[in-house]
Amino acid sequence: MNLASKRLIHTTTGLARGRHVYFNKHKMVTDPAKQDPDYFEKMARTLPLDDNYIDQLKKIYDDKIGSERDLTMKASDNLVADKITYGLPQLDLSKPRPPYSYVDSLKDAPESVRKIFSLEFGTRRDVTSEWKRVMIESVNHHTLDNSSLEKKIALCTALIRHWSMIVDEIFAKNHRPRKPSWLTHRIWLVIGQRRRLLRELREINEESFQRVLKELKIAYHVQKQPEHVKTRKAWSEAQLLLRIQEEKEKRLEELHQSYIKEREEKMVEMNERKKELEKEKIDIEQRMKELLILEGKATDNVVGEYHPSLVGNMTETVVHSMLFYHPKPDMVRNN
Amino acid sequence: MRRAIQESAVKTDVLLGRVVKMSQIGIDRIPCAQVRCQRNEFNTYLKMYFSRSFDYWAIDRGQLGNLGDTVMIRNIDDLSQRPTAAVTHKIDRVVFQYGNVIDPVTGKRVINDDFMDDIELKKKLVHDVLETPAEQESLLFAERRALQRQLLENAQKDDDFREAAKAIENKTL
Repeated sequence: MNLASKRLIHTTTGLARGRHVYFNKHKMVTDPAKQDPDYFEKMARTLPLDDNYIDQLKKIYDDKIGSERDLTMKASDNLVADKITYGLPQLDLSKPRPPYSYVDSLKDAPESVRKIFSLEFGTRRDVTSEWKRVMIESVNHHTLDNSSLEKKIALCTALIRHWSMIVDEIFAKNHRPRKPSWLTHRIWLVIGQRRRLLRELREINEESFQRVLKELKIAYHVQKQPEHVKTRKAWSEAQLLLRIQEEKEKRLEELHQSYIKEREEKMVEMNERKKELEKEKIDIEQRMKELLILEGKATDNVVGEYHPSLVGNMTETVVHSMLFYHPKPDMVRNN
Repeated sequence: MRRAIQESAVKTDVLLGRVVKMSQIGIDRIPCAQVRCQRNEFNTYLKMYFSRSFDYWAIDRGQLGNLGDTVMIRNIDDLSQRPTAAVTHKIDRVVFQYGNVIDPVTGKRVINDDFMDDIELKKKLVHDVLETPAEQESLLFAERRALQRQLLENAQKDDDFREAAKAIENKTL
């Protein structure tokens, strides 16, 4: 099976060596909002449905595919654009170096001696140990805690960040076209390890997970399933379909609301008319009763209700109908 | 062709699984969940069981379950009660909540195979014995160590501490 022929936008060279081929591997991402896995889909959803819709979709798709490579690493951290501190904590450089932190004689020593044993004059190793210590102590359970997930996550975060700093230093110093892959590969492995630890922590303890994300400023996104839409055409069609569905739902909802509102107004009118008609009916019935009284066919001021002796009447009626088929004579005067 | 795999003969009346997807049915938007449950398949050649996951849709009117929760689902026998043909079960109860696992036997919260109160006890002890003397800057290193040792001995003499330490060591209830 020729995989290259299926992928319209990717070249064959990377595939031959078994590596993932990126559309634009030099594109840098600086906007922290792009960390959201659905950022580009959400942007596509806000586009107006006019003549430029398809061209706008193309721009979004190019941006999405181009940002893929940078985002695989940067999206794991909330510090996409921080090239100054790299998310590492500020240290007090006048403090003694870690191996000498418990030495009592340094407390009374002269300023010059204390300076020599301080972090400022220490090795890079001392500084990184101190960074790790500060980050771990911000999230671990207690001083002797060495096995908790929080501690491991903090350690991974410290490694990722100070190694990223070293990568940039080497890259800037040596003026090579490529970053040191022996280090970038290690960073990538540690990012993966940290993701696994974060997932495990989330399953066990949700509050601790949120606290760790907030303290260490890590961005955690649930990984999306690999997309089944591989080409720009298929992606654009999928986005258009969703957009149309959304628009349809919105308009149906508006119509539904307008019907409800209209019904409320109409109901008020109808109830009022009903009341008027009922009042009219009562008046007419009253008038008819008065007329009957005048004609002598009914009496007014009737107290109580007349209940004829139905059983007796029914028996007489049945007997008459059985014998003579004549209706029983009623006592009402003929008209 | 004779297959070596024998499917599970256990009925799907009651199953335990994890919620992998939440959805809604119809205009009424009745909440439902897709639950992934494991069922064993016997390999007649190797004489071993291999577990395989199957997804079942379960209706969740009371919105008991959430994404990631371990739930118990029960088969809806009465076909008229099923909202659609695909939804064959209903969520009976949530056994373990995602992010907040509580041991059903003791009722205590469990974090990474340890009870919450054991973790709190460890934290308290380390704070009382180790960290409190360490915060006192005026003491020298040897004095600080002596104070920590003294606090540790006092704690060890305390009956409550000894029982708790024993329980932690033996992992008893």
